[in-house]
Amino acid sequence: MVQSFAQPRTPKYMLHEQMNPAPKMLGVVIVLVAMLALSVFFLKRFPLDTVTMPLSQQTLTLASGQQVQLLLYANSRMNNHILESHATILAAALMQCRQQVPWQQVYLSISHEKQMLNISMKGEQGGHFKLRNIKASDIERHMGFFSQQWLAGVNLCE
Amino acid sequence: MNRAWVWLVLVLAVLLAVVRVYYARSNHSEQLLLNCSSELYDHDKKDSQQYYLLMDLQADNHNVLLNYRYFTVDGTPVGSIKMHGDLKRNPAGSSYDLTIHDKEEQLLEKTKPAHMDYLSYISGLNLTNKSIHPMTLEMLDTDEQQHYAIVRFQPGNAVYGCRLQH
Repeated sequence: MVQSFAQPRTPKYMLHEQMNPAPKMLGVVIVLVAMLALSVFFLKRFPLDTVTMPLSQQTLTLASGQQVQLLLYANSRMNNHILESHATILAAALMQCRQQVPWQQVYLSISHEKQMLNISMKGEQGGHFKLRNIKASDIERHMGFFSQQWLAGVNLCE
Repeated sequence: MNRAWVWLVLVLAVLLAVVRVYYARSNHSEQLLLNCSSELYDHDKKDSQQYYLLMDLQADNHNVLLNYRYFTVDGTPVGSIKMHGDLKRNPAGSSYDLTIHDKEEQLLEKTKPAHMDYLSYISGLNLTNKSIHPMTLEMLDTDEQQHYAIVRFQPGNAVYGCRLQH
């Protein structure tokens, strides 16, 4: 097999003589374009799903043995330390809950200007799906109000 | 020579088919309906005030309507911001680009909730300077069986848990 390739002129391959160089180039270009088009098509058709990842994610185990996932979402590196410190307060407040909480996932985010704090909670209670959104603002004191007492005041556990 | 042209025509036909399939996919209409309700807590020096926010997003065929309605704790309407624009799904990932073209605002009480104040300010700034207000909507967690979606809006980095209807 290898030897037959080594011989430059075998009568079997007539293609070389039938085609002049120009259409051969055309053929190569067509194949390349087709390959390019196919790869573009498949990339477009099956894009890599870029799901937004949280800044951090932790699982809290409450006194009742229940597990709650805490997810932090940031949009800049600037206020990440504020977000982390607020998450510590939020986690501590959740740990204080005495009874079973309806929440399985708790999302925390702060706006870029540190003006709005968002808590979204999702879970189930008595077979019923539950959602709760809390948005709090404190323009003058940059979230100075935020404490375990405040979270207890808005009935975080319910 | 002849054979080369046959191949050229074939490849062009395949390319045309691919392009047509791609456009048919990208043009199919996008329907999205989100109902999000939130408790709002405003704090200033000594006082604190509570409101409710109902936010609805209706998207149909690239048109989007965002309606923010604010209420006091006893249910009295405080004001609303209604924004109209276009919606485009990003080809990669589960996020949408919203281009707001105009808005209508209504204020029925003397003081605005801080959320409304910020929304009004940032959208007004963009609409005045750029004549559009760009927003993005990211679907962080979607469950069509349970009919909910956790979403995030930019600007504002605002996460909402919403009821999802299709």
